[in-house]
Amino acid sequence: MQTQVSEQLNEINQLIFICTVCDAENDLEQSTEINEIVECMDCATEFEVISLEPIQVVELELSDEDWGQ
Amino acid sequence: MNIGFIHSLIRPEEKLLLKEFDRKGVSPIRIDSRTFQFDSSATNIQSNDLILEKNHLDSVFNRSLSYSQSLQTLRIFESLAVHTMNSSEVLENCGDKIKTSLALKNVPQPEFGVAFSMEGALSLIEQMGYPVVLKPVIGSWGRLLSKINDRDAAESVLEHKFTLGNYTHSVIYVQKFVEKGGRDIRSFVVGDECIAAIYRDSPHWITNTARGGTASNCPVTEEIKELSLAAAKAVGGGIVAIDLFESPQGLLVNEVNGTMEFKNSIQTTGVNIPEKIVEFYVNEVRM
Repeated sequence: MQTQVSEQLNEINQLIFICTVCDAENDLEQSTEINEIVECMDCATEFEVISLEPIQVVELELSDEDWGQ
Repeated sequence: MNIGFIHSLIRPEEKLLLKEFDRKGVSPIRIDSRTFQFDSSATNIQSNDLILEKNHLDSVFNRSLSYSQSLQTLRIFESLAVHTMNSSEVLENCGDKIKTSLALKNVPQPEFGVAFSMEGALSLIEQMGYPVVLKPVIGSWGRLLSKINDRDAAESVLEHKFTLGNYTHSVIYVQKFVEKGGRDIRSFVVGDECIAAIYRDSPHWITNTARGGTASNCPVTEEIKELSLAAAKAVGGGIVAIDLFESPQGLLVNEVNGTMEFKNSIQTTGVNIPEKIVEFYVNEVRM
């Protein structure tokens, strides 16, 4: 379920997102992909990247019963 | 050669695979299974902003996290005469534990049983003898596994399953508990080759790395290789990971995974697993 959106900056060629849980600023790798899972370095909350221009992330909830291997 | 890459979330595994496709000069078209749409009367299939002619793809490679979305999407592509990897048959043989156990009829595996009622399940469990493990027929990452040590626990867990679970939880799959010495083995099979294996150690009886099990390299012995290839063949081949128990009676196949995770196993084994997978797949499609 998509709960929150963090729409954030792109400063000096740096990809950044702000954690919607703890407000920490996180760098993203230049190779970041759409739908990639990224983690807040401060609070370890996981997000899915849903847009790169602008950067948008939504909190990840891996709750579906048939997910995984 | 037009290839589709069915995905949901992009985990490190998918990123590594996409990088390998790129290195091979192949650019798969990404299809997000979560937003996939198929209309039998339309000429296109859709996913997010993607609109594709139904006959555009030669093959699809599945990496979606969702078992049910993967299975149905693969079935749809197969109905359109598109080659699939893994096929829906392989995925179903791996994803449904009863199908896996039945497919493995000629491969050493723990004793298992199936029942559909409280009374039937209790009788089955007592017949097998404690301890046993109850597993959801479809499920992964070690979720909702119950080790049942006595009748009190059996009655309690079964009552919960029949009362609180949806109808799928009233199909009771029972496996005889195997004392595996605090670890199991996961081997990786790509086509006709067992490319690597890891030990998964844990003080807990559930050793999945998703549940905190730690990985270390496991040399691929002749026994591991033979059993892994036999298990892979039994479910229909392709790209699969085999979970093995070291029992006093020898190696037993516990489960077979049809959409393997491998990020913790590349450094551990020294084998470039995504490279091997993409190489095999691309060769299969080109043949």
